[in-house]
Amino acid sequence: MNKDINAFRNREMAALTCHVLCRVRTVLVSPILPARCFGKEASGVAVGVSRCRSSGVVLRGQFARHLAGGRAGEEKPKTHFGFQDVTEEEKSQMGDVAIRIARFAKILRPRPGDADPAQRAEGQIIVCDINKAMLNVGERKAERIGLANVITWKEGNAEDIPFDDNSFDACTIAFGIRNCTHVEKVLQEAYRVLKPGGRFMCLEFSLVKNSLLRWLYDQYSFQVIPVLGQVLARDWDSYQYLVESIRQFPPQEEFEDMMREAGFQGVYHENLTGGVCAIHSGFKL
Amino acid sequence: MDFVLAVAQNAPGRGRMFVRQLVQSDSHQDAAEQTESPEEELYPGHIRTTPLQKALLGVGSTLMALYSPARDDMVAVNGEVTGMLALPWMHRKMLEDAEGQQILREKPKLNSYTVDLDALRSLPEGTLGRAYTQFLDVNGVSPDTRLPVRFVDDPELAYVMQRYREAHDLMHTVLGMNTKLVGEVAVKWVEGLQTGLPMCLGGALMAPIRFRPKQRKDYVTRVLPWALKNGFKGKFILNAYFEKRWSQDLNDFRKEFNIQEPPSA
Repeated sequence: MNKDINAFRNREMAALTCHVLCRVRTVLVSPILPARCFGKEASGVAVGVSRCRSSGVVLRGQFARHLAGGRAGEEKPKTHFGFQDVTEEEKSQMGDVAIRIARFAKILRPRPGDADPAQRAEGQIIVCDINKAMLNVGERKAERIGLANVITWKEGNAEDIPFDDNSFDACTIAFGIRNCTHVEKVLQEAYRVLKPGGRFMCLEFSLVKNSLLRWLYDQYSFQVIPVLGQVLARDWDSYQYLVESIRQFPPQEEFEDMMREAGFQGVYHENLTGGVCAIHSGFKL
Repeated sequence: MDFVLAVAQNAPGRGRMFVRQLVQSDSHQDAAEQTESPEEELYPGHIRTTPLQKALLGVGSTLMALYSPARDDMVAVNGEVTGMLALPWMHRKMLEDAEGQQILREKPKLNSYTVDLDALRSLPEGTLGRAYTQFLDVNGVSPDTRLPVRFVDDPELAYVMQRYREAHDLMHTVLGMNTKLVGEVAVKWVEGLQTGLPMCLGGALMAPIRFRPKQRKDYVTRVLPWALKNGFKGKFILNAYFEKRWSQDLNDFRKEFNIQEPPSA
């Protein structure tokens, strides 16, 4: 049944999907968060996502920390410095996960005598999305905040990623995978392009475990969000689709199984805001 | 699968309904079923809304329409959502009139596809049809800009609302009012008093706040008394089957419906 539903996915909403493929050591692949990431240019999920973003700093901080693989100070002494900066950056400005990771990459392991760490940024972040307009928005933003030399932009379908096998350290997608028609294909493609040892991470709306919280969340989703969509964006239907598509997406454990079926190992998830969103992680070994 | 895709792409609302029927209920999706009433489109474009959603839409659309008058869709939504008591009254007024009954039976639509505007332009001066096209041309408006009704939960009442919306320009014509602010307020008064729609009455009461002093003077001394008189004394203009009256003399139309001549500028 889920496959049938997947077949209906509104392709316009798939425009929100973005794959950032990154060659940076500590992985950074992130889907582009719409609206606030790219100002008012991106349409769509701002309203639905904002609730998730209210746990915003925690969410992004957790995500970035997850990707870097460990707590501050655990791996290399210099990493601690990197983490500190990332946290401050998060608190001081908005930005997509990709942008934040790019900044993190820029300041990773500064060496003495470095005039401008950006010039020596190791690794590369590739943002891949099926929608050229979204990529353009991202490009403009990257230029504006001085990360143009770290990120490259590629048009492509997450179900058929235009890159070779075993070429990336990390692959991430945020708030995009539920808009893809064939989620299993996206997972298989992510597995394919990752190097052995590479990590896949997915941030997506998920199932709220607590029944009271779930009821409140559902009431807000179905009663309020489409109304806000109509009043603020002249568009009831897209926001109705949004809240429905969230419910259509498999719950956390089922999505973990889907990741395992694609070949990922060490698969686990972490809930945010009681399950409103969840970060799933898996490795290619 | 292709058929299903075609349904989904061509009729988003119905596609959703179709999807919903395919979906097996599990705890994840139960919530959607419980919080939303079963999705049934009573007419194309219909969106079922709960009382809470209607309340939120009413408040939201009022605030947004005041904040940004260019949001004509907010005025439309507001009319639909707040007109729940007015629409049955309008419907009854149409049922009690022979011509109104005919309109309800045949449910004509008023737009540039159903009405031959060029033919109307060539009608003799002083006819309803000629005056209507003159109004459209002088004020730069088109009959095609009326939004479809979406939030009324009854197909008959939805038609009444749609007819009211499509006949707005004809109201202007019959009353002889232009689309400037004072003219719009005058039309809103007549519409509001005849239909009982809160959106019209609310708009007529709130919009004068934006008048400049000269407009306000003109409004208070000349336009408002005339508009109120027509609103109270005039016959229900929506009972006019306009499509059959294009060649009627406008003055005769006004006499028939007890509409006073518009005050001279």
